[in-house]
Amino acid sequence: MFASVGAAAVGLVLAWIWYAQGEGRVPAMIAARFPRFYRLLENKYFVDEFYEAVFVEGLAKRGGRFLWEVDATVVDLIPNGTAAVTRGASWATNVFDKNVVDGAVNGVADGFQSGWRLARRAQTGRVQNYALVMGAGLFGLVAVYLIFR
Amino acid sequence: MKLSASDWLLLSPELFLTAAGLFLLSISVFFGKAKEEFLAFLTILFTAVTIGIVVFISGYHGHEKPILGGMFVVDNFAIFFKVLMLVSIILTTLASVRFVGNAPYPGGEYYALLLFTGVGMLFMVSGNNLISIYVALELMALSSYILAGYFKGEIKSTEAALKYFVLGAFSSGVLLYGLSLVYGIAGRMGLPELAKLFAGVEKSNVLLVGILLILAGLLFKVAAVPFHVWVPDVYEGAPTPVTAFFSVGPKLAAYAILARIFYVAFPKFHADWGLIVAVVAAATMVVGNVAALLQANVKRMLAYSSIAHAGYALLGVIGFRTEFGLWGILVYLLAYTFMNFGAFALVVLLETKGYAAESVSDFNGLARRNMTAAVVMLVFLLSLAGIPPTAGFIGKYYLFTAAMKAGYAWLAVLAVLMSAVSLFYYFRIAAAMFFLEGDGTPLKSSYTLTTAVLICAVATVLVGIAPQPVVEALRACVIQTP
Amino acid sequence: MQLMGLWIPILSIVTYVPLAGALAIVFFLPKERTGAIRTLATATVIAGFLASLPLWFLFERGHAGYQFVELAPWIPSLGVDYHFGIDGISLVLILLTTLMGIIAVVCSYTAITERQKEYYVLLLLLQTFMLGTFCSLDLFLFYVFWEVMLVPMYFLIGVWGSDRRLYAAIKFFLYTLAGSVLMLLGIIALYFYNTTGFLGYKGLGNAPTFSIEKLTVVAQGLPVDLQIWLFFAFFLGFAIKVPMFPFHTWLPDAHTEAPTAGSVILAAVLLKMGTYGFVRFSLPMFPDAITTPWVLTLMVTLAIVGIVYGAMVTLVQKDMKRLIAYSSVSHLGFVMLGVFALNMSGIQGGMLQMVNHGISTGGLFLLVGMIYERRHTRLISEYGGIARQMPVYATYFLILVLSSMGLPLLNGFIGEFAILQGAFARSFWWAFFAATGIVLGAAYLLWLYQRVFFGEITNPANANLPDLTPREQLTLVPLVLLALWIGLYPKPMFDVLRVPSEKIVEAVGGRTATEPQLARERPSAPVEASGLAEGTPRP
Repeated sequence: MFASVGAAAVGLVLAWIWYAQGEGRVPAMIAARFPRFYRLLENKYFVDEFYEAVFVEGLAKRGGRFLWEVDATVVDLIPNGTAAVTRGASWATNVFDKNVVDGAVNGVADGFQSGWRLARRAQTGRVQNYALVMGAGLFGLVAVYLIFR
Repeated sequence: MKLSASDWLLLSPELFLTAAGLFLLSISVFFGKAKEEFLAFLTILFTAVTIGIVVFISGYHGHEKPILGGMFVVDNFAIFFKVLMLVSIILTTLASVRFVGNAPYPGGEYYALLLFTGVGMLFMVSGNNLISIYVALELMALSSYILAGYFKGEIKSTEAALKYFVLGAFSSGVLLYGLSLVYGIAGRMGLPELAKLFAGVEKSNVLLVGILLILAGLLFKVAAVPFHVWVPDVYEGAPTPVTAFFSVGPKLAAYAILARIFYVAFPKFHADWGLIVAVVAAATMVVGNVAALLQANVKRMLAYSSIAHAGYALLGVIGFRTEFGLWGILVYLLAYTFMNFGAFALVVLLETKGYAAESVSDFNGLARRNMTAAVVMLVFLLSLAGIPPTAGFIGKYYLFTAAMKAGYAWLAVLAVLMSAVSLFYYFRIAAAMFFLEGDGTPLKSSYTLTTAVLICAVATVLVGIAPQPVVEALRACVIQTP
Repeated sequence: MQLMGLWIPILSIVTYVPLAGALAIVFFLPKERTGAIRTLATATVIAGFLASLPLWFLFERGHAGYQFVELAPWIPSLGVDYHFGIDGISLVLILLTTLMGIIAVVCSYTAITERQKEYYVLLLLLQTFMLGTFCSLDLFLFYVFWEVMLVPMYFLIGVWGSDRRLYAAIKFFLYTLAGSVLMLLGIIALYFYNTTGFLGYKGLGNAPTFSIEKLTVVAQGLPVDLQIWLFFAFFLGFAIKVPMFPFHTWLPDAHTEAPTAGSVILAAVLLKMGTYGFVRFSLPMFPDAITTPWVLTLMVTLAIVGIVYGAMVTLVQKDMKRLIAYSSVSHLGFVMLGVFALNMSGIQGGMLQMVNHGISTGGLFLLVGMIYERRHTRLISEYGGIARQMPVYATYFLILVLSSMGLPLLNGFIGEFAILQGAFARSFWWAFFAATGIVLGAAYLLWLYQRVFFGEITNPANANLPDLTPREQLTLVPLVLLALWIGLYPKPMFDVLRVPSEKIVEAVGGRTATEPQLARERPSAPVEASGLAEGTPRP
């Protein structure tokens, strides 16, 4: 604590001597002799600029922007990816439902239609065919019965 | 043999109807086209009187005894069928008045032929002997052949008659052959005697083939697979009221004798012919329903539907050993008569512009043209499909119950599924009536046709909603096996 | 019920008032007097609803049997009686039906412009048949109403529906019919087991009857393999109606093509028939079959597949009505899951969700119908930014969407929570998949809402749409109020549903082969304030 208070006191005294009493001749001399050193001191060791460049611009903003990118794309993949997968699965499920599940239902109907077309062909309109069908049917009936009796 | 007074009484319906038919035939020469309606009126009158006689007989004590040497019996079973068949004749006459009146063919012979067919049917259901049944069957068949071809100027009608005749003769031959085989083994023709005889005898192949042949001959008349092939063509070609009659009257008679023969004479062989009937029933239901699905011609569609219904009725035959078998057939045939005739009658309605209007698209927009007709047709369609609360549902319920109880669960499953499928083609008509647009002209019906349709509709709905009295009465009509 | 010393057959009155109205319209009002027809129809359904209100107030919540019973012989030769009566579950469904009846009639005023006489007659007939199904305590009578209900619905879809109505109508009729007829065979088999026996099994030799109470007892006593056969016979009839996967494909077509009121009634009431059937028949009658491990697994699997599969297919629908139709598959999968959890939470939740689904999905169909009347398109892509033009409509829509989604404060949440609780008590994985369904539900509903209502008005046709008329709001307000009421204070509902659920749980309780700790849930357990009974969470 004493060092810092002492440094502050020295600085106070020096400032009073140099600027208040001496019109700044010594600082000007230092500025002329050691210009870079003087600039360093004048710009407060460029701490602000350093901060600005490294932390604010570099880490925070660019880093932030980078992480934002990562977040928006990669991490957000969790919901977005799920959504995409879900949408894809939903679309596939919909196709399955329309074609396979409902297709089975309509397929039953189509099956009946094919059966109908088959049944139609039995009606040829000719009496001879009809008599043949009847006779064959009768023969078949009796034959099957006698065989499996 | 001497006939007592009661014998004459029991025979009087048939005799009266024969006399009525002959009378009508004779006086028809004096009635031109314009006055034909009077002949129709007479037909209805005579038939109604016959119904009255039958009802009177039913109250007569001891009417159940067989007469004429055991050849003829008027038990409750026969009475039920007689009444129902006579009602169907009345309905046919009502439906035919305008139809035949507009056609260039004489009406007198038409009505007389109807009555003769009726006589044949009456004798059939009273038959207690294989030969008397056969003879009566032939009488009914011959009159039917002529009726089918009555519109002799129409090529389809003649075609229908010829096909019916040829194939009918074929099946009669088969039936007769079967009868002769049975006679050869048994030596007698009376049904109760046969039953008593077979109680002792062991089965022989000849006997069973004979039974099968009898079955085949009867299945033809009933329109079961594979003996159904004549039905679509004959139903399509015959004049529509005649088709309506064919789908009820002769079917009823055929079922009656099928039931009587197999219930009374051959019950012992149930185990043998049961499975065959089951297979035939299955095939009939499938073929009948599938072939009707996309049929464009209404008469053919209803013909196939009749085939399918024959299949359902066979379920009752399978269930003969159960309480619901014969009872179920009776209930079902009652429902079937009214709903099927009603449907055909509405086809007659649509054909007022001539013989040819027969496709499903003729039903388009019927709801707008005549809402009552459309609603009534809807009732018939629902009943045919077996949707409650209609008579058709009650009938089908009994048949499914019979099949289930008899142990043929697979057949019952097939029957209900086919019943559901049938809704598709019945409702093609309903869709045409209610959803599609026709030509919008109002459609009026003749009084007689309206009467016939209304009778059918009321019966269909009434038996569906309040079946108890009818069902209980029919329970009493089941044949009592000694 | 007794009123001033007179016995009033209130259930029959409630059931047949719509029929009386229909007959009055048929015989007394010519088809030109459309205004009078609408008025009479409205008066009839309001009268029906008012007639059903006493049921709610006079119903005894704690009573275990059926109430308001009416019994008269109908077909004694077969043992069929005219037998009406209700318990908790039928009570709520009857009230739902009578309320929906009013809503359906009122919402049709402007939607139906052709053949109005036939339309209102059919709607009223449908109302009678649906009510009869819920009231029936005789299996034959139930079957009659169950079948005949299909006829007016067929015509409603086929005459007043949209483009593919012919296909949708016959598909609906045939598919449902095919299931029902197999159920008929199950009924016949049950009848025979009660009387003279069937297929090698000896019958009990009782007098023939179709009474549900008696046959339930008969069925419970049957051997397991028999119960399984009968269960599946009944199953098909109900599963198609629910609809359960994979028997659901008639639903999108029927719902989409039906007119608005038709869709509302289909969703709100007709779909409940299937689940009602399970709860009234399958569960009490065939407990040994249901608790057989493979049967239960199958049922629950189908339910869960229904939830997830239904939700996934909903997500990609482009037609609003079809989207909501598929969402019904998902929602009813939830109900089935609750029911087959076979515990108090699940069953009560399932029953409550039946009512909730009717409210929310019925309401959504109403809303879609309203915008359809304005723009005659149901494609989502045609809309966008509607909220700017129709803020009132957007609000109602939002409320019903949230109800359908299961957001707390609204009815859907209560039902879903109870179901999840019940499911979780049986298996973590059941609840897991069900919860996935909830998330998907939120997805498709909110996405729908966003696409239709938010954003800019991209389609110029949407620029000047009128907002809801008072009449339209009138049809929505009861639903919103119900949704809020059940969501905030579900206790009355749970009180009514408690006893029937207990009966079912008792019937299946103690019979599980694999989970012996499913002993009777304490039948006389005091119910908590929210009305939810607990299930035992399993690790």
